[in-house]
Amino acid sequence: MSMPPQTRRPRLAYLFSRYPVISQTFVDNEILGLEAAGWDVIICALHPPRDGLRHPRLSGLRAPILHAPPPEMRKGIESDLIARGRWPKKFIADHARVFGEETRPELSCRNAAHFAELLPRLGVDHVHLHFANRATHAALMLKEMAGMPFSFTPQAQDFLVDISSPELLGEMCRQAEFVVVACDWASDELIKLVPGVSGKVKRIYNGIDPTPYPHAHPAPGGGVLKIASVGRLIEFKGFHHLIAAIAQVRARGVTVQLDLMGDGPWRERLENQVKELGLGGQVVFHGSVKIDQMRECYARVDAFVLACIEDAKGAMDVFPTVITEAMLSWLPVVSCRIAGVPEQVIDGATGFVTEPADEKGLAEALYRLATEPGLAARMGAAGHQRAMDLFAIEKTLPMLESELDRLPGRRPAPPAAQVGALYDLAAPGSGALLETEGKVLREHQTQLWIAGGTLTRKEAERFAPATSGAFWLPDGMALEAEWFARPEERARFEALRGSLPDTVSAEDFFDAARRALWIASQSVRLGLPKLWYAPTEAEALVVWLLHHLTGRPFALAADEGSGLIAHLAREAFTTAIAASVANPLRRPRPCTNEPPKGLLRKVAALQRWRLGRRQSALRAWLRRALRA
Amino acid sequence: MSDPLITSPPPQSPVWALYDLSLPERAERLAKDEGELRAQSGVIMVAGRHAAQADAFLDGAEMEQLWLKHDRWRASLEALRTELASSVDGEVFLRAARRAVWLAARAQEGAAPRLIFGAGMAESLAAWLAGKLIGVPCAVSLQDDTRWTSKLVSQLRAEARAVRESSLTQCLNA
Repeated sequence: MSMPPQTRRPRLAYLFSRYPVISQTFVDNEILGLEAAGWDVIICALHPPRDGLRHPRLSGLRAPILHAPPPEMRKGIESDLIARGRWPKKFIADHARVFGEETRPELSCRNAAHFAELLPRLGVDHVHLHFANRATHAALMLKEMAGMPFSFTPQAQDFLVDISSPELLGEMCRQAEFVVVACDWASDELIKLVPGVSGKVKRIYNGIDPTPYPHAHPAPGGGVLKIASVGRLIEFKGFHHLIAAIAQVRARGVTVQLDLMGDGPWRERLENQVKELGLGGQVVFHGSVKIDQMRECYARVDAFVLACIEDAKGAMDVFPTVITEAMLSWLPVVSCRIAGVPEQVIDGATGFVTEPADEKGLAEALYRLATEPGLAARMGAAGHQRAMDLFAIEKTLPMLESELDRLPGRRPAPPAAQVGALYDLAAPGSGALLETEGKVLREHQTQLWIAGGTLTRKEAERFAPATSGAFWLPDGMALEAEWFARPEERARFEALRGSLPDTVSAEDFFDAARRALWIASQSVRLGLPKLWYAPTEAEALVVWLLHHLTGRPFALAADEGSGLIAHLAREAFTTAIAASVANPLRRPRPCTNEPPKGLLRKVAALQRWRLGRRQSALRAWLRRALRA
Repeated sequence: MSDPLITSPPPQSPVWALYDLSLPERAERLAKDEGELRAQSGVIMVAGRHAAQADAFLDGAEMEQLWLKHDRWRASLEALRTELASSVDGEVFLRAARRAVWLAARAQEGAAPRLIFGAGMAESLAAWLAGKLIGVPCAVSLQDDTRWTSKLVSQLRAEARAVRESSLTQCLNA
């Protein structure tokens, strides 16, 4: 009797157009929830974050965050794949013909190419995405180039307004293993657009971890109702209607105190409206707030209101996370009959649902909450129960897991890295060394890190083959976000700086520290190598810091020229492995290191000879080091 | 960047001139420019490493503290980084941004300059960013490095009060 092949859970990659985005709470909740349930996840990003802000919850992530190489290098990779006959030229041409040139299939292919090499090597079996956007288009290419299956969660705005081709949306749905939508309304809209895919569309509400939300005790009294609202100050959030409703309720003898959290282009307009209506004492504009401040506010108000509408361009809220958060905080919610909101708020039970832009209806709801004893508390309790039953991550995540569990885990887990090496392509000579040493390093399961975002087209084309399957240091903004999120490590770096010679400038040191912090953070999640290696002086400081952050020994191959190298080398020699391996590259045996006399006048040939010597020296050196 | 802290410094205010001495040729450039700068009441500010001629040194440790402290400036500069996108490398931009915050904080403490001059592209980027924070014009030198994108060079050229072609004095008095 034959046994069924042994299966394991698939290893997942989440591919984002940009990561992290601080407002996309539901995405982070989903990944954190999957990790807590034992899933092995990798995060991939095509573009860096827009700012240095990072949500504190992300410190709990175990997934490594891997960024695509800079745009110029993506073109270099394209050239390399064309040269190797592996660029899907016909697929791109067909794609452009069927879905239109404006969908730019070659760009999506370029975005996918790096991950098409990397993800199979990392044992990734399946890619999941949020939004029907450029990243999902790249996932189509990833499937073509690497046979990597994918699924995605379109939200609404993305597939209803932003996507350039409805036919492309159809293709995304057809090619996906399954499609998740965030509410029944979105499901209906998607099936209207792509009728043939209803069988693979799954409605799974955006789940939220309920634990950090407060237990509010809504108890309006004395003709005063305290309310909160949250969102960007833009048209479709409908704050102008809410402010008008507050004025109407005041005319009926009820004072509504609004804490308005968020910022945006409509701020001045809304502030003027408040002044004109004489509501200065009743509306507080808090601007952008941290999530803790938002929760503190929820704890002290009597109700949450989001008067959302559809704007002239068709933009609107679909399933606002802030409403679920308010429900989890035991608050009654007043909102509007738009998209998935009626699936969140049950009119008359967990709050009130009015027609969009119905200021009179909003005013009536506020008046009832302010004047009917116990109503706000009853509705808040009912809302809390509904949120726990339907929207808590514990309830939503198993639905996603059951879809993912149907996918087979096929690829073997990657072998543990033995060497971690960093090459800064912006540093003189480092790229040439990578070309030579990369071959040797790959023989030793190397975690290869590449820095140097400012490459010329020529350099990108030259170095692309050598960087295949490497991990790229992300844009400075991503390094910055990590730096900001880790105050303890910043303090530790400060102490390390004190041990270096004065000749090391603080600017250089902190640049190196940000790189080291990023590599260390991701490397811990990918699996720490046994040894760190810096091929030139340019990478030496980062590698020395990595040694201190991770406790793994390091080795340098720089000439003993500067005071810094002399200083760092002393420490490298104190470790058992480095002691036996750091020297040979710098002091190879003279009898084998002298170039043949004929080469001395031929600079290029001499250079090749030297690199060749270095390659064989590194091979021998690594063999000994990793045995030690 | 809509509400700079310092506006319209008086015409007798000094010019600040920034040189990054860790970059090639800057020490020579500073040696050549020093006389003209002194004649124009220039305040010589150096980054990268110390120099005897310098009136101020942009210390990296101090820059880091100021960067962490000035949330609003940081947010403005990060927004600008997003606008510039791939026309400048992120690490390069953020190094210039930290220098800009140092310069802005210095201007806030005492006499603001009437002009901030950058002796090369890296310094010009910092001068431009500092100028945006405090509402002071910049003068730039754009000729030194091919690694800078034409988009960024064009933006600096368009927004600078003056671009140094040859005469420093002419540039500072434009």
